[in-house]
Amino acid sequence: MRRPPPLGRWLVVALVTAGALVVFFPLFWMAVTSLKTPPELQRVPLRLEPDRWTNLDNYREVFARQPFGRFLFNSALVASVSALSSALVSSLAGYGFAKFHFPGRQLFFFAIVGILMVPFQSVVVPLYLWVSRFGLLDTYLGILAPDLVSVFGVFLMRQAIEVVPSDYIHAARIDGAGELAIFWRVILPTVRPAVATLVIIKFMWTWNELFWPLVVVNSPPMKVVTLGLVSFTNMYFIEYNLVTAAAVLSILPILSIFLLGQKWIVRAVVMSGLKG
Amino acid sequence: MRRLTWSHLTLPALILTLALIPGAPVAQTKKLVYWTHWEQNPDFNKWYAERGREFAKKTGYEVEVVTVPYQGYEAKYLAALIGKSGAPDFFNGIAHQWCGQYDFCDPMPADLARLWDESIPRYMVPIGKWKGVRYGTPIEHGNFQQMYLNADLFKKAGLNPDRPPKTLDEWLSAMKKLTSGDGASGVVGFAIRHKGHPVGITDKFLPFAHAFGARMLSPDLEKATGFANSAEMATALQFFVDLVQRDKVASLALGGPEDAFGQKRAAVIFRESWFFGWLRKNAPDVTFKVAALPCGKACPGAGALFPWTNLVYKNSPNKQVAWEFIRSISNAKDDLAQHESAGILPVWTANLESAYVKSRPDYASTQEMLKQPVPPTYFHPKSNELATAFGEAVVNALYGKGQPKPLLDEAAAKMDKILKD
Repeated sequence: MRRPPPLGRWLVVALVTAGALVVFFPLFWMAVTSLKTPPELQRVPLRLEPDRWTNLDNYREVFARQPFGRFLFNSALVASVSALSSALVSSLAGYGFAKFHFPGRQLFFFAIVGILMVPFQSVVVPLYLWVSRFGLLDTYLGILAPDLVSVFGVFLMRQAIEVVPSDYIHAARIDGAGELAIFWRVILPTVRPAVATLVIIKFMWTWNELFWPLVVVNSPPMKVVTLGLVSFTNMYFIEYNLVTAAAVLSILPILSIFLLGQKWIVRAVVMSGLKG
Repeated sequence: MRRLTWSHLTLPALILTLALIPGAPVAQTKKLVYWTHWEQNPDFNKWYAERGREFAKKTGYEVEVVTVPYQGYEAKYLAALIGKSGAPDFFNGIAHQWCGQYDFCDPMPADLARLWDESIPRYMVPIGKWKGVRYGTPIEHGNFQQMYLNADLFKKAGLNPDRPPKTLDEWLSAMKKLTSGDGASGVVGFAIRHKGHPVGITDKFLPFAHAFGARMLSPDLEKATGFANSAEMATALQFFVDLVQRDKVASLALGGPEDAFGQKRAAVIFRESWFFGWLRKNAPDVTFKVAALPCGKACPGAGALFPWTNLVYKNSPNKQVAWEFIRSISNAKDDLAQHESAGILPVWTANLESAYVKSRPDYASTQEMLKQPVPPTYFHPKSNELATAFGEAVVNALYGKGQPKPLLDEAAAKMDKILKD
């Protein structure tokens, strides 16, 4: 006869369920709010469910007021390029710092990591001037400029590559492989989880970026999704019905990525010690 | 071991190629670029582009409107105006900030400045000026608070909504009659602003301060001590605090005052002319009336802490054309058309008796407010920092974290330091 699960197990299940509900509820609230009309939002006592579950007027208005599909495309493009570029540059830099000995290696490394301590706001104006001088204002490359390289990525990849046994590299050299070949064929496959971590984190960071796109983007077709979201908050009031509809739309791609790459994301969170 | 093939590189290469394709360029040639953060008025903004098309027939210059999100607009303005490239030719901003704190504005041609001075209500004349020089064209009339009252709740409390309270004493007495709970259950008389940025708190408290004859800064805007902490100011703040703590006609349990009024949990709110549009959209079942603010020792009058104007960037290569465009729309007809399209009050005095303005629910109250003496203004380059220091004292007093006078003394000292720095 099977013994019933111990009480402790039930407790764990109950706690996890409660935790899941706490996490899920704001998302649910956002979704149902996006189906309500402004007067419904003002109703007292507040009702959880909308009058009409099929009311998609807010979504229609979001698309009518703004080219929101274009914003989603722009965000996806910018976040993808930034994630891939950061992964590539950071892996190369990390490989250099981890496996090559050259004068001032530690100094350079700490100088690069030290950039993490510089608030982005303090470099915005000089960065803007550069981007403007190169004629990149209001372009994809202008939005991407500060995100093509990731200092955090250099740090992460250096840590990951450092633990790769140097014997692999020596063996490859004996077999006649060049340094780039070693990087592509030996290092990258070995540190694939770290690369995946970096790609995912960088994608999410860039997706959520507001400040820099706000500074360099002028025309509506170049706006990213975060700029679309804040446009429903003006100096007097917040249009909650529209903000929530736009927010639902903006999390869909991230949600899809999560569902597709759940295994990697969990590993990424564990590896980097970062939380959502 | 797997080899890296071209197929592995195709996707990143494709994405990078797409990334390098430039987006729509910001055309500076033959185009006047206008920046505004007034996202709440898309039709108002669009109007510049429409008039720009007519302007282009004569000059070849069209107007491109860039709407910047309010959240973070100052950073964007600052980067562009310091950078001198990719900057607007003219923009919506506050004169004492962008022309005073920074030196980004081109002075308005004298004849145009004279035209504006002669064409707008008296309280608006200082708006758009810095040190007596006109830089900007005021674009928002009605940016002063008025009293919105829930007519049904007034009737229920035995009050006549067509005879709103005229003095602070009458007003307090009405608030007491209207209060039947703490807002969570029952209704409170007054929807008080007690959360959010301290500048907003200051903005909402100032009508009370002015009604008590107090002012936040000296007339030359050089001193806070003796003004921000004067006996009149302390009495005004005590009155404001008492609304919550002693008289209980306002509640800190309620969230935003606009929501409280829209949800019929508060019977009265002080808000600007934009509020009736919000009410009609968000709370269409609220029957409301708009009245002038009640007077105390003095009347609060029509005054604004956020005097929005259109300014011309002094480093713009197109600044003369920008002034010509502004000149072309500086007339009563365009003023009415633009403001009516957005459902907001026009600026020119000639339009204050127009059919459009007369049809608005705030027509009579606006007239009454304009008859009151002009209240003190605080158009100082550091007005945001000053209002923040002052607003913190008001919030602390509301939440019982100290007595009004010591809190105001502390705020005044802080404000003097800001003024000296």
